[in-house]
Amino acid sequence: MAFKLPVHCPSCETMLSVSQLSCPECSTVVSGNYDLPLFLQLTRDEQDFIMQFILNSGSLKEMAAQMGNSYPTVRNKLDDIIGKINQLKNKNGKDDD
Amino acid sequence: MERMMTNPFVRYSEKKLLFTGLFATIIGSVLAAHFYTRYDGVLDAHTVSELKYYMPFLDNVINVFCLSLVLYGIGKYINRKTRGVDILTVVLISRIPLYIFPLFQIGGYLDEITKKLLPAAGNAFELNITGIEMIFLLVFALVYFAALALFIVLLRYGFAVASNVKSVKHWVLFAFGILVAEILSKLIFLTLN
Repeated sequence: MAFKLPVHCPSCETMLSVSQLSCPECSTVVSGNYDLPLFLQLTRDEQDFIMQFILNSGSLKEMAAQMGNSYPTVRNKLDDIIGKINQLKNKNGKDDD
Repeated sequence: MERMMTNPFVRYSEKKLLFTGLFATIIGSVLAAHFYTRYDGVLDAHTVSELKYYMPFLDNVINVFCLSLVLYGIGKYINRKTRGVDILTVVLISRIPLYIFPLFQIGGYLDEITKKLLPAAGNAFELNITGIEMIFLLVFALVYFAALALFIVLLRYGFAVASNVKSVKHWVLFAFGILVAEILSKLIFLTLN
């Protein structure tokens, strides 16, 4: 079973950050405070959509046929994800300042 | 099933929708020509006593053209990625419920009741129609308003998909667009008649 990576705090809904990474081979642990990469800040559904977009060489028509949706439905979803990525980029940019 | 009925635009490709829409428009025009019905406006349907066979076809071409043109303009303003073919399929599919109107003309029953009603126009106490005729009129009115409502619902869902509409301002523009298309089509019909 593949566990879903939590990206929001279950208590206050704030975006989580990475505080510990470990090596599965030798159990070396690295601690710190790292932001989640932008891709991981998206929902699982949005990540899957982007993955499909790449695997289909960016062809929305092929994606629409595969997903059983119409072309404008798929294009709207892509536009919504682009809008969300821009929002996250702006928010992350402000947090860095 | 419910989603397929109210929002086929999410699921089906533009080719399927375009073919279905064109086919339905031709069938609707044939029915209208056969049962003396004219669609003389984007939101209008009337029975007439005289009709040339090509008229309902021309009516539907004008209505589809006006509505598509206005909604395409608004769609482009809202979202520059709006495609003409998506708007055209939305208009063609949305109009399908309106093609039920000529079916009420089968047997000329509706026309007979209308002729009985005309002398009593303006005076509800002098209506000279039977109870069954009254029920027929009531059923006709209910079905026609339901068809008109379904037309608007389909248009609304289809336009949302075609132009990725989300804000209230855009929906106000959409409603305004339907009125503009109605006026434009009426102007064209007035010029042609």
